[in-house]
Amino acid sequence: MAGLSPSERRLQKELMSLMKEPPPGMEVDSDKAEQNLNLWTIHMKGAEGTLYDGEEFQLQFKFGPKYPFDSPEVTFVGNNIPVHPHVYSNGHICLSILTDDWSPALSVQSVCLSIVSMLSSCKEK
Amino acid sequence: MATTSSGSKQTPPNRDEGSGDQKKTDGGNDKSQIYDCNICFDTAKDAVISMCGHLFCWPCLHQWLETCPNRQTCPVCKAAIDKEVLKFFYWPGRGGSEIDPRDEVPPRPQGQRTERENSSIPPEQRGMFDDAITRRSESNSMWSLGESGFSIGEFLLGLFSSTSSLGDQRLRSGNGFRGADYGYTSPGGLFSAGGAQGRPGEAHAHGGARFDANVEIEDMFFKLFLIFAALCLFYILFVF
Ligand SMILES: [Zn+2]
Ligand SMILES: [Zn+2]
Repeated sequence: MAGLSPSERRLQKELMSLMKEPPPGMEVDSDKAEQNLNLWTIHMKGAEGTLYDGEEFQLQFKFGPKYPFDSPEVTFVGNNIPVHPHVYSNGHICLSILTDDWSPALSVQSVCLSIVSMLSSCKEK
Repeated sequence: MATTSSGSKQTPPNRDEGSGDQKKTDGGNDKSQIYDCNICFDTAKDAVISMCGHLFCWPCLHQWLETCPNRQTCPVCKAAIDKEVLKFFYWPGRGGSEIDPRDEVPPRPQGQRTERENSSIPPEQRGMFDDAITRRSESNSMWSLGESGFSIGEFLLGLFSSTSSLGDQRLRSGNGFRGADYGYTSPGGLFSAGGAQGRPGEAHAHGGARFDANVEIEDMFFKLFLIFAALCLFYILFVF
């Protein structure tokens, strides 16, 4: 862990903890992330009891060199983009913590949880 | 599409597994997660604590505050953060920076440390963080309470000791309010030099106080009146 930049150092820490204790219904593609620490793919299951129950999504995280001071770029990718008022068909997510309300105390995990709860709060597609 | 019942339940986290083996993270210093910086998630280096109680490395917090100059908020709780009002922690052998972050970042604002006379802090009051606390920011009101209490006592003591040794000196103050200079002297210091001048170390930058030997009885009354006024003032301050 010697020659890592602060941003990579934090990403490495986050990756470790996500691999060790993944939040329910989430799985990080660790091989891919370890190859390129700045581009992660996270497989996400629609939460039980919600409109997205049984669906599977892929989230892509892109981290700039200023992470965590700059927010990551988070989009849905793949062939199943959730149908949701705050998710565009190209996968773009309209979520304030990803732009104006970003804080360096947030993490990949907390962003994922916010997205899950955003989806879960949707009662009608 | 059909709506589900509003009690949308999520899968409960499996708390029982994995909690046992979260010992080894990369740094091996995870026993001290409470010392982790909320920005880099590492053990805080040059630790500072915001008034809202959140811990950061000074370099990390500084960089965040630079990132959004017009919105200085705590990354954790969004409370306003004043760079000048931070608490400083020093813990022995922990979080010391191997690479001095000051190479790129301005040094952490200095805490202010005042020497008190007759200072003898009982050993039992020196906790783990105490080396830290002695260097504190002046604006840090919480920790300075004890000391200001002390200095008020010192002040009163100084007044009393001055009345007792009073009688042959007269305070001539540059500004109109003579009492203004009293508070800054240590017990007995004000009038202890029987001659024309106070101790050199106590020359007041702002008051320009000088002493001379003329005795005037009105001064005596004036001082008694000041003491009385000061006592009233403190009574009011402390009671209300
Ligand atoms: Zn930090
Ligand atoms: Zn805070």
